[in-house]
Order: sequence, then structure tokens, then C-alpha cells
Amino acid sequence: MSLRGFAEVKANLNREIQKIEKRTMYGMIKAVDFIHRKTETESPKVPVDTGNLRHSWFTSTMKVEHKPVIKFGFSANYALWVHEMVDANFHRNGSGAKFLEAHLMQNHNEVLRIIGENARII
Amino acid sequence: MNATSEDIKDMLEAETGLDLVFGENLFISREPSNPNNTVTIFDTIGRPDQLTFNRSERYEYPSVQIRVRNTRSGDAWDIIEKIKVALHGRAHETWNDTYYSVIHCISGPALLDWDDNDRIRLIINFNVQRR
Repeated sequence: MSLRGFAEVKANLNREIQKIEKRTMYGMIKAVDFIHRKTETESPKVPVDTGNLRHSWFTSTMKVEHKPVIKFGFSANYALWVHEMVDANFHRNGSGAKFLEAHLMQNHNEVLRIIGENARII
Repeated sequence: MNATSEDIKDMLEAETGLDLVFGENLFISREPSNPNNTVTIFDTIGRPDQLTFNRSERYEYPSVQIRVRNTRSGDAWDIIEKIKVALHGRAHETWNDTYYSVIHCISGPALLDWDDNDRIRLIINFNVQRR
């Protein structure tokens, strides 16, 4: 799923993360893992029908100008539709639309804390 | 304090260029199958409310999604662009005793889908700050 759907949420978070000069890939992976767990354990959880969307979660790491960068999301081609379908009745208990954006918005500070906590000291 | 969608509904109804009337072509939370051309406002999950030592102090960050459905793609884009112009950047206004600090378009307009009756559905999302 492309993050285009909530560009502002991503932009705000990216801006804050870039301020953490000594951020490490380890910390960023831990933060993404934290968000992924939220999509599985807290409402709105990722909706499940066949399981394809749920299992299309991806995390990809790279370095840009020697700084760690991470991409993550759901790669199913209908992920954006499910994410924005705010009046749909999904089968899985506790699941719902905005299953990624909601957790990013609500855990903004926690994501920054995890990345900061795992930043290099020197 | 009203649901955010209620106040946004009033803001959109007051926009003369949009010709939206609640119950006729403007709806909240549920998109009816008729009429064909509708605008529907949904309350969605926003950021957590501000928490201070003063429990009576309220400052909220809700979000809304607005969905435009139309039989004609061009008309749908036209309406959703007008909604964006009407709401994005709107600030320091009071509606139904709630003060709206700012309304901010965070994504869209974007195509959601074509429904089973071949009507285009577009969406746009807004973050709101209010107290």
C-alpha cells in the first residue's frame, strides 16, 4: 500500500525522524515492528478475508546518504481501497479502515521514542 | 460538542457554490444508495486528544473523510475540488459552540473506486484541530 493516502502523516513523522541524527537501522526496524504489531493487536486491526492483505506486509531497508531509511506498508494492490473504505463491515473482530494511518497517528511519540532510544550515543 | 462531521456538514451546507443540502445530497456516516450524486462525511480516527493537568481543558485532533459519489467523473472532481478549497486552511472559526483552530487537508482528492452501479467515488481526508 502506498503511503500516498496519508502523505501528511508520513511527512510529519519523517520530519521528526530526520531530526534524530544518530538514528540506527535497528531502532527504525523496531519502530516499524511496533507499528506492525499494533495493526494486529489493537483496533483498527488489519481486515482479513483471505489473508492476502495481512500477509502483504513488507519492510524494506536501505541507506540514503549514509543514513538508514525504511519503507513499510501493505503491498496488496487493493490495500488502499480497504484502508479508505470507512463504512465497510469487515469480518475480523476489531478490524477496520485506517488500520495503518490510525496507528501511525496515535503512536507518533512512541515511534520517535523507540528510534531515539536506539540511536547511537557517539 | 458535536461530532466533527456535524459541524463540517454545516460548513459545507453554508457554501453557496456547492449546493449541498443535508438529507438530500449531503449525508453523514452512511452513504445511501440513492440519489446517485452524493457527498458523505465520515468521522475517522485522528490523533489523541491533548492531555493537560486541567481536565476540563479540551483540545481535539479528529479527522474526517469526505466521499463524493457521482455518475459523471468530471462533476465528481469538480465537487471535491470545491470542497477542498472550502475546507483546507480554514481557521479560527466557531461552529455550534466549537472553536475550530484549523482544518487541514492531509490527502486526496483520490479515486476510491467505481461502485457496482458505475458511479465514481472520490475521497479526501482532513485533519481537524478544535476545542
